Amino acid sequence: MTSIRNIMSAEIRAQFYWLKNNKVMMVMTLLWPYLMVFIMISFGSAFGSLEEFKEKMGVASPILYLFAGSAVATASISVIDNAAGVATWHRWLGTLPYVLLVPRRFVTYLLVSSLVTSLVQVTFNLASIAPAVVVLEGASAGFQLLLVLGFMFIGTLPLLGIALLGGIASLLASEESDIINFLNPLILLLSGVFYPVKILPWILEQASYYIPTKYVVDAAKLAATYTYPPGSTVIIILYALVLLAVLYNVIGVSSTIYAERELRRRGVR
Amino acid sequence: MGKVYTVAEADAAIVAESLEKTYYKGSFPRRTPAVKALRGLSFKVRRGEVYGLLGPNGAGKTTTVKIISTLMVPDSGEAYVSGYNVVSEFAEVRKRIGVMLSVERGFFWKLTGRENLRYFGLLYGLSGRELEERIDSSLETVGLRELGGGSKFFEDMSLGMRARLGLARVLLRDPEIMILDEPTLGLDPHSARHIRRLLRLEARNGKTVLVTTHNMFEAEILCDRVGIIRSGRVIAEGTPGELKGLVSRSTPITVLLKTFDEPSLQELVARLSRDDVRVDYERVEPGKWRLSLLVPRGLEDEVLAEVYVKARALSLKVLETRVREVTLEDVFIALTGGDTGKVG
Repeated sequence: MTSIRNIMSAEIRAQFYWLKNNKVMMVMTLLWPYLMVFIMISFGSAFGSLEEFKEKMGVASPILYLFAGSAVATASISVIDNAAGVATWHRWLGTLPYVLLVPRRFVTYLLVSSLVTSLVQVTFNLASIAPAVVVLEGASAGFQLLLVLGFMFIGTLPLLGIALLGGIASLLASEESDIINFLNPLILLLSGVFYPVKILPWILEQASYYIPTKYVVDAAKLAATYTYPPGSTVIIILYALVLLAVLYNVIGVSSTIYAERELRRRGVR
Repeated sequence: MGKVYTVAEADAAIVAESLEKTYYKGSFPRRTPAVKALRGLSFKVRRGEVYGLLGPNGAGKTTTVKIISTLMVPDSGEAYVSGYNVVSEFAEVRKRIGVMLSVERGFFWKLTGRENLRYFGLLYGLSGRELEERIDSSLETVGLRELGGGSKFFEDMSLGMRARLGLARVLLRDPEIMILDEPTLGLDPHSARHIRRLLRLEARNGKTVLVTTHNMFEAEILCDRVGIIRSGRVIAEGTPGELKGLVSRSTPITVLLKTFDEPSLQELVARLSRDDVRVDYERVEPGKWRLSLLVPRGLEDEVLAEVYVKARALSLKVLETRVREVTLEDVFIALTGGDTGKVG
């Protein structure tokens, strides 16, 4: 049986080869979080001055928040794109039958593969903005960014469960569905990364509590406010993320096991 | 648990028993049967042989391959690979097989041949020095090393190189059983011959090869035994020699005709067809057609005279006639029809 280590190694190498062989894409990936910073500044300018932005978003260091928040947003998009898209991507390439032939359950392959590609992308997104944060806010801000990276890693776990559901739905849909592209705007809308969730209608504000990215955004706000964030708040965020990780992954894994059976009934293409 | 073998099945690498599979169209709750792909298909592949599934398009070859490869579940019937059930023990089956489903796709376009093999090798449980050695040897075996295929992106490879890379991926795992769906489809004669030679070599080294094809010539020179599929059933099985014996009381005759009038040609085919004479035709080039007739021994002269008279009556010009030895193609034409398995 193929070991999990082998699957991880295969995916890390594939990511590396992919970036090495697509240099323009690599540069674009590095620039992407900066593009997101400008989008956030544009959104933020709707609030008025930087001081007003600080006050309304509830952060002490708006510059650090802008960078950390943009990294969280891009990382969240990357996780959904990579994890939800992996199965559909394999089908487009014609590699789906060959990954299904791995002597291991498909759900194990999907989870490990998605986790690895997501973590690589998250690290990439945060690493790309790290130099700008250190230059503008100093070395201590770099440490706070590491804190955000840690939360983003944990935030990746519940996002994976959501992504599995999206990916499986796309794979089983009879037509080439756009389910994955629907997930990203929905998650960003409810994450509160561009504006406080308080300004959303009540129902959407309630829904935002079920979105893992919201808690990572909260962590980014903490990092942009305190050098040493209060332990109780950190624990609440961690607790919420772990709870959501369990919830979404139980649903995601069960759905993937069903989807594997359904795929084999229909025949893998 | 593996299957308990009967004495007759003891040397079987692959056993398919009464496989049935129907494809549906539409989605729940309006799903309706579209194509009955397999209707009780059965065959056995012995260890160390090259077994060919020969059939026209839509006969059920790819469906069979997918079921044997654990990529599809049959509606009914059972299949075993090395004694393991392909549905309930699919993980065991996957450890023992190497599969090639398509020549054109199945790899990452922006990765080189070697990078692609490394990725799949790791997924199939290889690593370290063993993986690198297997990559080297499989690239060497399929002849990609000398063509520089290891460092070429998959997107830049010719169809022949892609087929070789597909075969290299199969060999990477050193499987007991190789399952290949139309491995030479669309290849130039040189590449196709190379692939066939490799498969024969692998069988000589003890591997079992299950290959599908609709290329008669390929089946005849590559396979130890052939199963002819029509409408989801194996309708004849045996060595190419045994199968040719099925029509040994017939003589194949080829007639080359010149005409641009296809309705007249169809009329000629209709007039020549009898219970004991099978007629098929194909276009060789614009205005040139080949008639293939299978006539009872002893009636060759009579049928040929009939061809000349009836062709002249329809203003068709006979360019050449030839009485041939029986080939697998004649057997195939004699046994298969145009039924593609459509339901209703």
